[in-house]
Amino acid sequence: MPATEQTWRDLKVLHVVFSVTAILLLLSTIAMLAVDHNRPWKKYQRGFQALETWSAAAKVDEQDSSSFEATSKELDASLAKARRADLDSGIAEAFLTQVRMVPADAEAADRGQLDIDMLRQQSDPAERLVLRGDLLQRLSDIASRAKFREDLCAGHLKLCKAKLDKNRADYELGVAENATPKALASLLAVADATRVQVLAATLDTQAANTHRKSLEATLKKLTATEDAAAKSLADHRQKLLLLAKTLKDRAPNFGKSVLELPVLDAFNGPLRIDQLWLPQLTLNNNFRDVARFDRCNTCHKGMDKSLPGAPTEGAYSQTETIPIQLPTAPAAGGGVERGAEEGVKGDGNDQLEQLYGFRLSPHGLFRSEAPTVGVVVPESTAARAGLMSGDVIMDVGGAKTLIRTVATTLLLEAPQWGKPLEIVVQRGVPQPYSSHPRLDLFVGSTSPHPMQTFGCTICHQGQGSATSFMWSSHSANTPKQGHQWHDEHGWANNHHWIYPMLPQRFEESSCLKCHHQVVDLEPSPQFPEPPAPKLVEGYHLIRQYGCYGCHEINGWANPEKRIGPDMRLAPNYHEVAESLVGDPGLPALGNAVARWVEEVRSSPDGKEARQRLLDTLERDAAAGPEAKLSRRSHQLATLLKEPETPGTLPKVGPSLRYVASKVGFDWLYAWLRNPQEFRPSTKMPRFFGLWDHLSGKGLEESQRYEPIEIRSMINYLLGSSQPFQYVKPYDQQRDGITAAPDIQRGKKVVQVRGCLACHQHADFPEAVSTHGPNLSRIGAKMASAPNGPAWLYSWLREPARYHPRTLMPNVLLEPVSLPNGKVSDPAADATAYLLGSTESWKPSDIPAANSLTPAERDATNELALMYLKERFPAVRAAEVLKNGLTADQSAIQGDERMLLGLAGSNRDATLLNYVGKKTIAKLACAGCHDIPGFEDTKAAGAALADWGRKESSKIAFEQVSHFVMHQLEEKHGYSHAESGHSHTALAPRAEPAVDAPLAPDLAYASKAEAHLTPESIDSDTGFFLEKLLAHDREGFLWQKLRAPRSYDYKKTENKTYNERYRMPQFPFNAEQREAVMTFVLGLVAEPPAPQFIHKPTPREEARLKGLVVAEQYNCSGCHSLEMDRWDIRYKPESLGPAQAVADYPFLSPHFTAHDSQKSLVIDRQGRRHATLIGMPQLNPETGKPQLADEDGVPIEDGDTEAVVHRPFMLWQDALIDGEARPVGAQNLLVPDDAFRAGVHYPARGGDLARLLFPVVIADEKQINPNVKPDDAWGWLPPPLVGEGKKVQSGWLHKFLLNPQTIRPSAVLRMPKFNFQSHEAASLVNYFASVDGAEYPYAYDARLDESSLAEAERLHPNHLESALKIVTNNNYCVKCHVVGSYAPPGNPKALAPQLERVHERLQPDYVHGWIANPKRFLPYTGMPVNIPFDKPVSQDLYVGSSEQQLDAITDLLMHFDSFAKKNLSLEAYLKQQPSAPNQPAATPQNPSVPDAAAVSPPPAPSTKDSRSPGVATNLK
Amino acid sequence: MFATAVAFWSVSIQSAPRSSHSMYANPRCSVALLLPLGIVSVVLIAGPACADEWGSVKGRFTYAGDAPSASELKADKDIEVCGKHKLVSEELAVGADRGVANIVVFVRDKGVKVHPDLAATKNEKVILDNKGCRFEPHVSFVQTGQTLVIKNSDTVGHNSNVATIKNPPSNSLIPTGGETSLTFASDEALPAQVTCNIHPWMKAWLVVRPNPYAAISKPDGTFEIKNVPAGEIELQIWHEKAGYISEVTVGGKPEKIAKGRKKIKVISGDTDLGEMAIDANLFKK
Repeated sequence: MPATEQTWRDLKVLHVVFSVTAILLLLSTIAMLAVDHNRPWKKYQRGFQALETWSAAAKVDEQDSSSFEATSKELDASLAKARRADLDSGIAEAFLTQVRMVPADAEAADRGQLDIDMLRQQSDPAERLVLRGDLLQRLSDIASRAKFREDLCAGHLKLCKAKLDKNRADYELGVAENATPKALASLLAVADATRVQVLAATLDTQAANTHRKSLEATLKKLTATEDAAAKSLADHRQKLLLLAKTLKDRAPNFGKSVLELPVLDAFNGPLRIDQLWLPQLTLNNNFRDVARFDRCNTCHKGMDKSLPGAPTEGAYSQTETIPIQLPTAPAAGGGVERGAEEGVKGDGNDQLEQLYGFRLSPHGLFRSEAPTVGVVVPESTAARAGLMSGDVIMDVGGAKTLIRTVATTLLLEAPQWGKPLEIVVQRGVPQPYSSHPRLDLFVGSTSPHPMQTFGCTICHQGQGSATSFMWSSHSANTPKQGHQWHDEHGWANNHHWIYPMLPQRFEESSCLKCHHQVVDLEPSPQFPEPPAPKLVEGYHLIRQYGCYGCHEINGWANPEKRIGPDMRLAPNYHEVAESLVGDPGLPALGNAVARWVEEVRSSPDGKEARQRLLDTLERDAAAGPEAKLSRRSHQLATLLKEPETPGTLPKVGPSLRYVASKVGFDWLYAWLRNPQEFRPSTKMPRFFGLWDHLSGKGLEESQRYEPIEIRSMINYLLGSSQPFQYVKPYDQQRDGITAAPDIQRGKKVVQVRGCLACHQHADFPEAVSTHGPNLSRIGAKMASAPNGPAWLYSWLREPARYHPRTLMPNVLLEPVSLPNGKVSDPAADATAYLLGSTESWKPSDIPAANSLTPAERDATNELALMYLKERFPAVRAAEVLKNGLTADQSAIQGDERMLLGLAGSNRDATLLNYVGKKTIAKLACAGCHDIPGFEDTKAAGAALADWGRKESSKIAFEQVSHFVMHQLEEKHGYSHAESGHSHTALAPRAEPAVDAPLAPDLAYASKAEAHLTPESIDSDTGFFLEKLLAHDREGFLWQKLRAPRSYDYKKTENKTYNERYRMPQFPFNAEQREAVMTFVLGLVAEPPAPQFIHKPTPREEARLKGLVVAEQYNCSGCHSLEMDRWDIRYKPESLGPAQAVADYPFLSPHFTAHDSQKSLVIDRQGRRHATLIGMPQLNPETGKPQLADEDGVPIEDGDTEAVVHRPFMLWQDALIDGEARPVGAQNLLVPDDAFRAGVHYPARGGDLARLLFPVVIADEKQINPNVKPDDAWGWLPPPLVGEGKKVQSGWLHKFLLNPQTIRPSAVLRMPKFNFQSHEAASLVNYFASVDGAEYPYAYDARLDESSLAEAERLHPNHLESALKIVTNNNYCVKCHVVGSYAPPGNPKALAPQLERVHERLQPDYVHGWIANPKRFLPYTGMPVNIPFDKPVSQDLYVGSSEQQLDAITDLLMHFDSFAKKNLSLEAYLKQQPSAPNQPAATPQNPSVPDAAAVSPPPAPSTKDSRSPGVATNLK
Repeated sequence: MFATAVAFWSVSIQSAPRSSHSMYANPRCSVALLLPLGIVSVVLIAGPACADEWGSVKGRFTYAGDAPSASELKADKDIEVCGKHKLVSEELAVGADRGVANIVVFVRDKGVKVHPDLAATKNEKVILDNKGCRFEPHVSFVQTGQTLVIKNSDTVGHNSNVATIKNPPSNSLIPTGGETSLTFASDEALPAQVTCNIHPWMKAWLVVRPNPYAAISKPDGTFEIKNVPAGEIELQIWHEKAGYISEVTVGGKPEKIAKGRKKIKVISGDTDLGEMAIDANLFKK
C-alpha cells in the first residue's frame, strides 16, 4: 500500500493534546518544585541559619568593639615597650660565651660583642631600636648557624651509619660465601673502623645539638618579654579572626543563595533533611521491630548547640521574660544634656555604650525593628546587671519599647540618674530553634544521653520520621496551646499514630523505660539539679500511699528479663509466722519450732528458719488426723516458699493483727467512715460516703449498706484480733522510778527525743515531716479502747513488740535522772502528754456498738444474702441465711464456715463477722494492712506494669465524661438544671481541697457558649477534660485518681451493689495526681536494647540500694546525708582574704593548679564562680539562716541598711579567688548577692537537727549561760557526710542493728530500727560508696598488730608513753570517757568513750582527727592537743608532734589488746582445783571472763578496771 | 571647763563649712584662718595651732536599777582546783556606786591617726591568763598584729576556744604552765568570745581593733580612751549581755544610740561623755 499523507488521528488534534499535556507537565513540575521549595522545615532551617549568622555577627561585633581596639592598642603598646626595653646584657653576654665554645664562631661572637657595646653606648631611641634589632638578628643568625652545623653533623652521622651497615653486610656476605679467614678479618677490620667513625659522628651530633639547644634557650630568655607580648597580641587578634571565620562560614553568600533558589534547591541544595539512624533503638511497627529514624533535628537544629567552651550550657535558650535592674551613672542633670555635659558623645548607640556598656543591633533577629541588644562590653554595667547579647528590650521603666529608636530614647532620657533603671527583656529564641534544656543530661555530646546515640523519639515519642509539624505528632500541653498550634501550623491530634509525643507535663515518664530503679533519677552528687523531679515524686507517692498493695507493678517479664520498675509487696512470710503464733496447736510442736516462728516473724528475709518451718508445716499437714496445727496453718505453708523474683516492698498501713489491744469501736467507726475526719493529713484513702455521682436507687443502697459494712468490718477486726502482751512500765521498786508521769516533761520528750523527725504535732508547727502520722489528736484515738494508754506506752517503749517489722524504731526511752534527784520514766511522760493531745476531737454520730436496729438488721441480712448468692444457688443461699450452716455441712470451706453457729444466740454478731470479712476482702484492706485471715490475699487491682501502653479501647470510660462535664459546669456556673443530688448526714460532703486555683482560660472560649469546653476552664483541668472526652488514657487516669467511684455514674441501676467500683479515693492534690500519673504513664514495659538500660557502676549501685533503705527508714529525717551546696557567683575579693593557718602538712587542702586557675576566671558579669559545700550558719535563737553584715555581726531585726552576708561553715575545702579555704578554718562570709546570683542545692536530710538546734541551745542556757551555739550541733544527730571514711564498716553494721551510746552529750540516742541484716549492710555500703572508701572490707596496716612491733622497736614503751598523754591531767581524760573512768561535770561537756575507738573508727580518721579536729568536724569543741609545731611535754612522750600523734593513734587503735596485755588469769586460776584438764572458764562464768574478777586491784580513782593501764595512770 | 566650752564652740563652728575647705589638710588650721578670735582662745589654752591635737574620751556607765548580785557558778569539774575559788558569773558586773564594768568602748573608724606615744603599744604582749578556773582579764583588748599570749597558771589543763569571725578561730589546749601565742590579721567588729570546752563555765571576750583606741570600763564603770585625734569619730559601745548599748540616759535625758554607735567630736584635752545610765532592762537579753 502506497504511503499516504493521511494519519490515523487528526494531527491538529494531536498537537493540541500534546501541547496541553506538555503544559500540564510543566505546570505540575513547577508546582512540585514550588512545593518542595516551600516545605515547612526549610523555613526553619533558613531561620536557624539567620540565627546562627546573627549571633556570630554579634560576637564579631563584640570583639571588634572599641574595647577590643583599646585592648589591641594596649597590647601593641606593651609589645613596643618590650622592644624598646634594654636587653639584659648579662644574658646576651652569656650567649656569646656559649658561642665562643665553638671556635668557628669566635669571630661572630666578637662582632656580637661589638653590637652589644654599641647598643650600650647609643642613646638615641630610634637608633637603639635599629641596633637592638640588628643584635637580635645577629644572635639568631648564630643560632641558625649552630642549627646548620648540627644538621651537617647529623647528615654525616647518617652517612657513617649507612657505611657501617654496608660494611657489616659485606662481612655477613663473606661469611655466607665462605670467604677466607684473612678476607673476613679485613672485612671485619673495615667494619670496626666504620663503627669508630659512627661513634665519633654520634658524639659530634650530640654536642652540636646540646650547643644549639642551649643557644636557643638563652636567646629565648633574652627575648622572653617581647615574645610573650607578641603572643598575647596574636592571641587577641586570633580570637577575632576565628569569630570572623565562623561568621563567614555561616553568613549567606552568593554561591549558597544560588543553590537555595527555587528549582535549583531540588538538586542537592544546602538545606537538607537531617536524620539520626538508630538501628538499636527499635520501634515496634505493628508487631515488627524496625530501626528508628529521627528527623526531628531537621527543624530543631539548635538542639545540641552549646556555648563555646561550656558544653553543658545551651547556646539558644527558650524564650523567657526577665526583669533586669540596670544601674545608671550618678550625676546631676539628666538625659542627653547630661551626656553632653559629661562628655558622652556620638549617636545613640555610642551613648548607650558609654553609659551602660551595650549597643543595640542595627537589625533585630526575628523582627527587624525590635530593640535587640547586640554588643555587651564584658564587665560593663550592662554585663554586670546581666544583660546579654540577643536580649530584646521590651520595657524600659514601665514603658513599652517595640522599636529601636523608642528604646534608645527611653534608655537615654527616662532614668533618674544614680538610681537603677528597671527594664524588662525577652531572652532566648522560640521553638524550634532553641537548644535542649539540661545539656548536661540530654542531647549534649558529654551527657549520658548524646543525641547521636539516643535520638529524640525514644524519650519524647512522636513520629520521628515525619518532617512536618502535624505528622510528627506533637502533643499540646494545654488546650490553648493546641488551639494556637492549629492556627499556626494546621495542627490536629493524629489519632492514628500510637506513640504521640508526650505532652510537656508528662515528658519525664519516658525515663522509666531505662531507669528501672527510679532512685537513680534523684539528685546525685554528679547531677545535683533534679533530673526528673515529677517522676520521682510520683514514685515516692506510690510508695507512701502503697498503691502497689492493690496494683502490682511487676518489673520482670521473667526472672532473666527486667522490663521496668518493680514495685510489689514482699512475700508474706512475716504474716504467716504471725498467724502461726495465733495457732493453738503451735506449742505442741516444741520449742525449736516456736523459735523458728519467732525468727521468721522478726527477720522474715532469713532463709534458714523459714525453710525449716516450711518443712515442719508440710510434715504436720501430711500427718493427717495426727496433725497438731489447724488446716488454715497448713494452707499458709506454701506462702513460705520463695518465689523466683520476690517483691521487696512492705505493706504501708499498720498491722491490724492486734488491733483490739489498741483502739475501740467508736474511733474505728469514725476512722473507717472517713479517715480525714480524724486526721486531715492521713494517707489512708476514703472508702465510704463517696456519693457525689449517685442518685436514686444507687444512692439509697449506699446509704443503707455502708454503715453496716463499716460496723461489720470493725466486728471482724476486733473479733479476730490476736491477744497482745503489753510492755510492763518501769517499776518503782525495781527500776527506782520516783517521779510521777508529767505532761510537760512528756512534751519535751516528744520534742527532743526524735519523734518530730517523722511525726507532726500541733504543738510543734515547725515540724513538717509526713513520714509518720500526725500526732495532734492521738489521745482521742487511744481513749477509744480501755487499754489504749497501755498500748501507747508499749508502743513508745517497744514498737517491735506490736509489729516486728514496723518502721517505727525503738527510741530507747530509759529511766532518766532529773535535776531534782528524782528518776523519771520518759515513756510514761510522753504517754501522758500524748494522751492529752486530742484537739478536743471526739468521734461523733456513732451508732451503738452492740445492737442493731431492725432496719440495720435487714440491711445486714441483705448484704449477707448477696455474698451467699455468690457461693450458693439463690434458694440455698436464703436457707443458709435463715438457718446457718448445719453441722453436717461442716466440710464446707471458705468464709461461709463462719456461719456454722448462725442459728445460735449471737446471730447478729456472727452475721456481721461474715459480712465484715467479705467486705474487707472486697475492699482489699489487706493490700496495706496485716489482717488475720488474709495472709494469702492477692493484689486486688489491675496490674500496672504496662498500663502506660494500655489501649484506650480496653478502658471502660462508662458515663464518666458526662459526670465530669456536669460537675465542672456546676462549678463554673453554667446553668444546667440537673443538679439534684442530695447528700445526707452519714458522709459530710468532703470534697478534697483540690482544683483550687481554677482560673478560666478564656482566651479561646467565652462563657457565652452554652457548654463548657476544655478551653473555657484552667489549662490543667482543660487538658485532662479534653483527654477524657477523647477517651485517652490520661483522661481516664486523671478522673480515676480524682473520683474513682464516679465511673459508676448512671451505672448503678445496671449493677449489683457488690459489682460497683471499689477503688477508694486518695487524698491527692492536683500536683500529686499529676506526679502519680507521670509515673503510671511511664510504665510501658518496653525496655530498649540492653545496652541502653541504665546500669549503674557497682559503687553507684551500692549508693542507690542504700538510698532506698535510707528513704524507707527516713534516715534523713535526723541526719544530713548531703550538705548544702551553694554554687556562688561572687565579685572578686568580696569574700575577704584567705588567712593562712599553719598546720600539719598532711592536712593541707590539695587543689591542682588547674583548679586554682579555674577559680580565678572572671565571667562576663565580672564575677568568679565557686562551689561551697557545708552548713549555712543558723541563728541560735530562731534556727533560721543567720544573716550578718560584712563584719560577720548578726543583723538585727529592722536593720535595712546593713549589707547582707550569709556566714557559711565549710565541710569541704573550697577555692576562692584561687586560694584554698580549708574546712575548719573560718566561716565564709558570703555576700547575699553572690548567693542569689548562684544556685542553691539544699541539704539532703538533717531536718530534725536543724529543728532542735535552737531548742537545745535554749535548754542548755538554763544550765550553762555560756553555751556556744556551735557546740549544740554536737548534741544533735550528726551529719553523716564523710561517714564512710570515718567509721569501720563492720562496726557500723553492728551499730545499725544494735546501736550503743557513743556521745554522752547527745540529747537523743540513735534509735534501734527493725533493720534486716542486709538492709543495714546496704546502708554501710552506701556510706562507703559515696565517700569513695573501700568496702565491704578494708585493710589497714595500723589495725594489724604486727605494725606495732616496728613502732616499739623505734620507740620503746611506745604505747605506754602514749597512755601517759591520754591520762595526763591536761589532755584526753579531761573530757573523754576512758574505760570505766568518766570525767565529772556536765554531761554536755563529755566526749566519747576512747576504749571503743579501735573498733569504731578508721585509723586515718583518728590520726587526722587528733591532729586538728576542726578539719573533720568544723563545729567541734575539741581543741588541738598536739600543735604541729609544739609537741606535748617530753616527760610524757619523747618525740616530735607527728610521733606523738602516731603514738596516740596506735594506742587508740590497739587499746583493747594493750589493755588485755595487763590481764592476768592468775587470780582466776587460783580458785580452780588442781585438775589439769579443767578449762579456764567455769559454766557460771561467761566465756569472756568477768574483768573485775581477773584484773589487779582497782585504782583509787576508778571503780572498775576493765582498762588497768588507764587506772594506774589516772592517779 | 572654760577650755572645753571654747573648744566645743570652735569645733562646732568649723564643722559646718568644712567640706568647702577641704584643701586644708588640718581642719583646725582652717578654723584658725577663718576665725582669728577663736584661734586666740584655742592657742592660749590648747597650745600651738596647726599641730596634731589629741584628746581623751572618758565617761562612766552606771546601772539604772537595783544592782543585781552576780550569780555563783558551780564548778563541776576539777573540783579540787576550781572548787577552791569562788566563781561568779561575770556577765554583768555592777560595782558599788552602780558602775558597770566590762563595757567595751572603741573607735569604729579604721583609718584614724595614731598618736606617736601609742604606736609602740603594738609591740607589747597582751596576756590572757587561765587562772583560778576563770579567764583573767574578763575582757582583753589586742590590736591587729599585736601578740596575744594565752597562759595557763592553773594546775589543770585548759583549752582556749577563740571564736573570732574575721580571723581564723583557734582552739588550742594549754597545758599547766604552758602558753600559746596568737596574732590577728583582721580587726573584729565586735568582741570575740573565748571559752574553755573543758570547763564550760569559763568565758572571756577579746576585742581586736586595728588601732589602740579601745577601752573597757573598770569596776567603777569608768573608761578612758587616751590620745584620740581631735575631730569627729564614731564610738562603738557594747556589752556582752546587753549587746549594743542602744540607749543611755545622760543627765536625766534619754539618748538613743543606734546599734551602739555614737558619733562624737573629740577635742583637745578631755571629752567627757558624762555619766551614762543604762536601763536595767537592756541587760535582760
